[in-house]
Amino acid sequence: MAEGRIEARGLGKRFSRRAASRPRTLKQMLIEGLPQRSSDDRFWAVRDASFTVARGQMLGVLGQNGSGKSTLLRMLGGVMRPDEGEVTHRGRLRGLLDLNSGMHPDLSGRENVFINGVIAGLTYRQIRERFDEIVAFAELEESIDAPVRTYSAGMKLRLGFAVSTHTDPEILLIDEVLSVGDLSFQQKCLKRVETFKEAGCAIVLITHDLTQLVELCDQALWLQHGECIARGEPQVLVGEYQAQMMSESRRRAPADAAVMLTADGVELRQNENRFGSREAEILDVRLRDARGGDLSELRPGQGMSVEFTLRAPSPLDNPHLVVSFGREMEDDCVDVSTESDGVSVERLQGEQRITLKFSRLDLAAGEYWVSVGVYETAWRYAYDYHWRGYKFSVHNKISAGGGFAPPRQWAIVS
Amino acid sequence: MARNWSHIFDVVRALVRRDFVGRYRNTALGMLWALVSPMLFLGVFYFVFGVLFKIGIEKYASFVLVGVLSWNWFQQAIAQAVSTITANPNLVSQPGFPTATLPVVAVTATLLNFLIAVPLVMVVFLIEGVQPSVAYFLLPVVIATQYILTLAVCYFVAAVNVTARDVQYIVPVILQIGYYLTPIFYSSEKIPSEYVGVLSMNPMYTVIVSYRDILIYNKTLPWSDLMTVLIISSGLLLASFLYFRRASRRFLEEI
Repeated sequence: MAEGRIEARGLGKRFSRRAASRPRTLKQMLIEGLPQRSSDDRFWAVRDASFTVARGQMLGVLGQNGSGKSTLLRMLGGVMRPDEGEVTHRGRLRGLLDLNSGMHPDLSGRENVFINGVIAGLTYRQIRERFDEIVAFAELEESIDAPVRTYSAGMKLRLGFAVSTHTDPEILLIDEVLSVGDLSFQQKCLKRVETFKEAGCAIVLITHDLTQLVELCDQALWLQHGECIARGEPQVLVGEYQAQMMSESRRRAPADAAVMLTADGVELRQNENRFGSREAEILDVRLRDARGGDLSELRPGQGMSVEFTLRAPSPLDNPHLVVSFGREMEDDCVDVSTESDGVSVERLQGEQRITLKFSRLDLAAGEYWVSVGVYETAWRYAYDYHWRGYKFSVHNKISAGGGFAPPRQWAIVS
Repeated sequence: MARNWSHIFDVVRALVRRDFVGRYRNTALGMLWALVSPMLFLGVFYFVFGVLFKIGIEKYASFVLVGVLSWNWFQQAIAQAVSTITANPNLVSQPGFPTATLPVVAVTATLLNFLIAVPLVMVVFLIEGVQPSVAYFLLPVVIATQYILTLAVCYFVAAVNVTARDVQYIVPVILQIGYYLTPIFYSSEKIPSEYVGVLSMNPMYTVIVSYRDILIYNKTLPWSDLMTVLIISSGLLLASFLYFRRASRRFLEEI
């Protein structure tokens, strides 16, 4: 049974702007003289962070990029010294930070297990003892002796995750690694993390995935510009965070945005059912049936595609795309994003046509409203979001209750 | 603590293996590459100073090879150490990772390059008729001295490069100049006596002379010179290790 516990009391870290902006060079030192610690070129990256994560507890940290989440995690991990306050912990502290940090592409999976293992804090002997378990968890029995260079990105992640989670953590620090890899492996990773939790491990999780945060964490901490602006129930904090994201999108919205009429006859009005800064715009959203024709009616078991054009006048890095739909007066029953599906958009520039294909949908009968959105890379605000601007209907001769009508057979055995 | 030391030992072992095996794994010649560069240098120096300028040093190929190999180890270790912190932010930010092992890895991995050249040295010695002697048993003392000296420099450059990135550009230049200011392809007997004092301030001078004395000339070590280097290097190592440890608190703020 693990007996982990980690506590932060008034934790603070101050950076100098110069160090943050660029590495200092001798030339700069000669020109500016030796760096002087004037108070005005320093800022607090994190300040007044206080919390306790007891055994079997999980704390989720949310905040925009640059809000101090990583700095906080580094101080908790003991690799960065706080300028104020202190961290006390009990139990073996392990990090789940960068999964492939030590891997050498020309070495075999087996050799890399040992390299990553020692980096994660194990000795050779401990690695040898749990080697088979690690390989089995990574599902790489077949290719463990092949060079890692021949592995797919997913295989590398699996190996990295498998090694870093066979370290008997009592305190675990996780930075954004639970939303990588394919979905089935993500599930496996989440299950593994939950096992640690049940075994008494104290966990601190940084994630952009708000659903994950609500599902996994017992408490949440919201960092903004280094300040802990709220702490509490994950559900509540995530709600507030999203509301702030909405108001941020509203604040950034252009004042003179014209009303847009969608193909389904919905008027999209800025800040009513359309949100976002318009740094990128969603245009020409089409719903297609399996054969590529316009979709008006979907039959159970058939597939459907959502197609749209994104236009970005200046390049945007790593935006997230979301598509969701649900029946009128109901919550969305399908809500997917490129991030949750492990897809990277990388760079958006000019016009790009996007297609999201559902191979089959077994929806219950009704009229469905589709929302499409494109978000800033840290989910801080929307570039453009069309709320329920598009619709399709599902026709079903036999009406079923509930939200889904999967293919089914009854067998009545006498 | 015992467990901690065995972890530190295994970190060094795994990372040295990664550096060393990883460097040659996917190449046709494999480890022979470690011999290519000293052989080329040997060939050039032998041709220029042994044949063209007739520098007049007996057993010149053996003389040059010992100098080249020893200097290569020194140079390669420092060249690797200078960016070992800045190039590995993900290791430095891993909780519990012993960052102070990284310079040790640099010196040890490059020591292996030095050691795999031993067969080449034996071949050259055989051709030039250099006879082995009991003095060869003193070789570990010289290697240990060079190890400590090199590690002292490595801790210093690794830490200082985090704050001032120029160091990684200056260091290769200094090492290149060192090639000429250290008697690698010439002998200290060939230089005017007023300069000998200055040149022998260079600790690598003493190290290389020591290698040659025991390997080629069947002499014993220049004990007082070598012990001076050893003691000073040990003091430097302590100082640069302490500096590294102090600086390491701020590594992550600057990389």
